[in-house]
Amino acid sequence: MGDEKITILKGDKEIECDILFTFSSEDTLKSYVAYTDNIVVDGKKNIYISSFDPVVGMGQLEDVVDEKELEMVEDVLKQIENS
Amino acid sequence: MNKEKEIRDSIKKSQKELEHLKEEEEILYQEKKNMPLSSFYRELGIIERHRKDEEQKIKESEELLCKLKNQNNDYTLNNNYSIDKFRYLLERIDELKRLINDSNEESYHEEQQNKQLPAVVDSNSLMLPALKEEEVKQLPSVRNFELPKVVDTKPKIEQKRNRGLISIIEEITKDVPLKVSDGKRYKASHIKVAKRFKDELSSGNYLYNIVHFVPNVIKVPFKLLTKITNKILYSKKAKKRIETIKERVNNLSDEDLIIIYKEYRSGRIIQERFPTGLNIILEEKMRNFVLNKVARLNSEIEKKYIDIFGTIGELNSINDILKKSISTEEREKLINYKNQLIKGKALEIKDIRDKYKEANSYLSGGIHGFSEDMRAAATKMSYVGKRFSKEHDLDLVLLQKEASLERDEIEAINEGNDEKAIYSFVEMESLLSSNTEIKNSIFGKKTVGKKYYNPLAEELNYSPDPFIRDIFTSIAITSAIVSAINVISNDVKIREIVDENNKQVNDINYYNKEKIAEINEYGHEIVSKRGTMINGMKAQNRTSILASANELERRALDKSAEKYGGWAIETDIYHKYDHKAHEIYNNFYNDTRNSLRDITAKYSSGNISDAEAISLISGVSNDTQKKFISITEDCLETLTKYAKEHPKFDLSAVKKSMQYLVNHPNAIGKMNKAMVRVEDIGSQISDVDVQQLIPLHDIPNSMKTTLFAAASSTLLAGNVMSTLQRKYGYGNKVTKLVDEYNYNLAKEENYKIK
Repeated sequence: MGDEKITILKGDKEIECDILFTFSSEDTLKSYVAYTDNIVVDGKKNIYISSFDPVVGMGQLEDVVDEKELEMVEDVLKQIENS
Repeated sequence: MNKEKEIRDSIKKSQKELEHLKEEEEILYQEKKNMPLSSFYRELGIIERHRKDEEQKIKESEELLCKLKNQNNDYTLNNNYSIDKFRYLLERIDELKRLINDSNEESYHEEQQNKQLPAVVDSNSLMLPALKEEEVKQLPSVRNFELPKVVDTKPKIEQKRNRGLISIIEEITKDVPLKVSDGKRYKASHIKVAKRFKDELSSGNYLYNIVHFVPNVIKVPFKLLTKITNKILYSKKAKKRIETIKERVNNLSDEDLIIIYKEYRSGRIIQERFPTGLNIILEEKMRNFVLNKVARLNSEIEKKYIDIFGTIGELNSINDILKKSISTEEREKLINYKNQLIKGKALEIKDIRDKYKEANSYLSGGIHGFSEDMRAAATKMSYVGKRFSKEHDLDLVLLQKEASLERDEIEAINEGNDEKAIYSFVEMESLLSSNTEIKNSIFGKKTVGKKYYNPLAEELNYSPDPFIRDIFTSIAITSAIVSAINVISNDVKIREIVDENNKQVNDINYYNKEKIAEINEYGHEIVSKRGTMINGMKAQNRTSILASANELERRALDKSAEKYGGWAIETDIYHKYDHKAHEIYNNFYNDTRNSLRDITAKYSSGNISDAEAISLISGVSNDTQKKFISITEDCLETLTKYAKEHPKFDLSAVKKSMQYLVNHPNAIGKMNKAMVRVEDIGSQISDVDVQQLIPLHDIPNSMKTTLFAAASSTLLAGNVMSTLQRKYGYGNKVTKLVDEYNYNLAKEENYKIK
């Protein structure tokens, strides 16, 4: 995957974020995108995780709050780290 | 004797010393708190060393004593002993050795029935006559003779089980009634990572926070999810090479194939890095090879099942007779017959279980296979009715029963108890079978039972959930609808025709104000629930409906035109419009078809996955979906105009159908979100009164032309796929999916697709 960007609106400001990874889930039938604004706060970068309906497309993102979905995100991060 | 006494005295002395050391140790422990720790441990160590010394002395003395005893236990020979008797003794000892060795190999049952172990030589009881000197010299050295170890004569069942899988499951789930949704962990697939992030993560230079945030997205990369896969394209030369290899692989012996099967797995494949073409050929051959083996095993299993179940019938009959008053002779004969009947059945049952395991191990080997099996089971694709199969919470009572029967069967096999083995086996099979239920549903047959009884090894279905095809279908429908609506609403020429029509009938005020208001209200509801509309349209997947509806509509319109006059002019215009609309519709049909065809071509050739296909299709319909709401409003406006201006046009049919759509607002939403509780959806859809959908025939042609574009879209997809298959020889995966979907819908609603 190349350097893909997603531009989001944070408050009134347009921020260009780097897309870090994407994946899908056949359990939830959603796709997920993780991106970062590369801002480092207290030595940590923010990763934003959003889900979207693959039917609708990435134009409309939703927050990921379900525990099982978050577990899945953690699994993905581990997989990426270990691969 | 003196020596012996000496040794015994030495043992006694050591034993006394040990008692003394024990007392010293007790005193030491009592004094522990009054002395430094180092002193305590030093003293304890001394006592320990002395104890070990004394114990060693006792051991050595006892061994010595034993040796002395053995030496004194020579065979005392008296003068009456003859060499023949002694040789007879040796022969009996040899026989004993032989029999003991043989009993380790033969079956336990035969041993019990046919043989008796000879008496074991008891050296203490045997008194042999004395030999003459010259005869003594000829005797073999008896002292060096050792009887062979008597081994356990019970049958050697390899890997003797004390309990089985179900007992283990029972134990780990004791008093914990697991629910369907407990412990489910969602699995991610199609993971794509930005290289920079991967490197960053591996470097460990940064820590990360997962942040919850719902942004307003301004711009996204459209082709983010495009995956590049390598398609194997054979040149002519390459094709020849492949064919040659294929032929050679097909000529490999079974022994060679087994070697490949066992050794070319997992890490070895990665290590060797053979070309993909070769791996594909080998995989295909392995699949055939393994499936043939499984088929043979299944055939053997089948025969044994027939035998066992045949036996149980007869066994039951015999047992019934034995309960009655019969003569002793008859009873004896019957019991003998029964014993012959059931002889060896425990082993046969064990063989069934072993062959089943063997067949299964062929079908899914290794941890990868195991994981794949788990995944395949989770998708429920291997069950009748696939994803519509019902899931159940863990039934502990059923599990208990199953575990108990499993234990009985294992016990029976281990004991070699044929009758018990048969009954346990049959009861277990019955339990599994009786808890298997295949029900008819609107989606065809589906598994609803708590078990899925299948005594033969079966390859699991590893294909993904067919729900994907439903999304594909609904997207196809949506895109077709919106395309057509868009054209009709926005095309200038059409507008001109409509306006002309309207001008000429503006003096006709035969309309139903109330009805229109109601329709408008429903129309607004529909706008806010666009998904519901899609669901309704999805149900209208019938070209026959479209065809007949068209016909009905035209006839109705023509008749009313004749009756009310003035409409005769409109009739021409109407037909002009109608013709134009169809022309435009057909153009858009083609455009949509081409777009879909490109995507489905990639999908059916395996270049893109299901999720990617959806994403691309959503790209085709993405913009149009967003416009759908506004376009629906336009459509309503058109409908309202027609309703207002068309003489005596009955909108009640429209009302009914819209009412249905409004009453089921969540249906398509749920389907699009991949319903978990498919039964809910199933029951919702089953509540649909097909009659409610029929009135959609009667709505004005413009609405039909637009909304009913969806009616043929699934067939459109099917037609496209059929064409592709014929023309390009693609795999028929998608064709089958779409055809099956159509067929099931047609079946449940008793419509035939023409």
